[in-house]
Amino acid sequence: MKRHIQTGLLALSLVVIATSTALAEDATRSAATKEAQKVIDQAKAASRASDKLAKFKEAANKFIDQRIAEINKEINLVNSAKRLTESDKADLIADLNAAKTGLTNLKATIAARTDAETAKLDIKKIFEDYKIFAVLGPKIEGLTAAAKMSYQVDKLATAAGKIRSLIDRAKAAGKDTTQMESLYADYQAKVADAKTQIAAARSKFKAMKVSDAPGAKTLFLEGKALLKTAKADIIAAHKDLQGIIPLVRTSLGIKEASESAKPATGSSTATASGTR
Amino acid sequence: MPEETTTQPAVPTAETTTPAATSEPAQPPQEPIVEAKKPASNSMWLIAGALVILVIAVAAYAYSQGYFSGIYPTATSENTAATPTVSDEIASLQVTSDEVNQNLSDLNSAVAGLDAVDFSGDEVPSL
Repeated sequence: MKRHIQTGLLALSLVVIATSTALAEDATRSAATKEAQKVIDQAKAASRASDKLAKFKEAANKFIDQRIAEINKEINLVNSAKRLTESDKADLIADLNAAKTGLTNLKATIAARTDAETAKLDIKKIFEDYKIFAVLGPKIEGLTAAAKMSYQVDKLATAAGKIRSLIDRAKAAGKDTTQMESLYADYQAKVADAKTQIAAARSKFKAMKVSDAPGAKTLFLEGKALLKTAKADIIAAHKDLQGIIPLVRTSLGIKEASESAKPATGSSTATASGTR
Repeated sequence: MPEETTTQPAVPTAETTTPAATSEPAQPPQEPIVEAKKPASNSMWLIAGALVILVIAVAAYAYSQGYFSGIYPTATSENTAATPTVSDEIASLQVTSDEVNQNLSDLNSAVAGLDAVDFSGDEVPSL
């Protein structure tokens, strides 16, 4: 009981940390955007053409630097992500590096501009051609979440064979396995459905394209809904497993191991750290 | 003058060396003299013993290096590992359950991260 309370508190605190971190990042980004917008307003208000151009260049630099900083952060996160596949990592890093190169070149192009109107068109490109916050960031977030869920489902799927074997032993010993069979059937169904949902979500996230930001947003929201279903499946399958274990134990006459005698959970501590 | 007494060494004549040339009946050929077998010397026994020891040593080394493993399967962790007991299997399930339980918080934070995505960061500002 105490262990469940501790786990619950840990889960709650991680959600709070994740949410507050995301909100803090949004606040920082929003502040940087507001600052750049203020420079643009100054550029619009400037009467001399040279001042106008200088202000537009200043604003462009701020917007680009903000995005390059975000790209660098994402590259680090992708590289350190434990659950992402190497193939997904390679694809995402390639996308991020391409955006970084494009923005660096655009920065040089804007710096060389001699008229404000052309500089304004270049500034639009920062938002329209790269979509760091609207597509690349969410795509990485989605694929990372899918990878984490996939890891959990694989663990549950691996355990299915052992459950089947234990139920069969109980049956061979003449025990009533009706309840175990029912839980096991639900377990199998939930694990299978979770796998399906995660695979579908992955497809959605991978299809997100910078060139179609509205479409990417739709895909992201669909993928997110699929992952929420997968998470519900994982929770349900885990609950089934928690129900099966004491039934198997009782029917086969095995006493519950004491807390200290239970095998160490190994990697669980490391994986509960909320890393990508 | 005294008569010379030196005698010439007898030179075998054809009559004495070739029985076929004599008128006497032919003698059967003499049996070749065969030397009696001598017992093996001590050094031979030493060499043989050393060879035996060498062969045994080579065989022992080869065995220790596993050269005979294809002929005589040796015990491996695979074929000597104990079959997991029911108790082990249940403990293993409990470990899986505990791990998934602990990682549920990781899933919650992943979903929270998806909920917190803000798409407005790339809206074109008023130029």
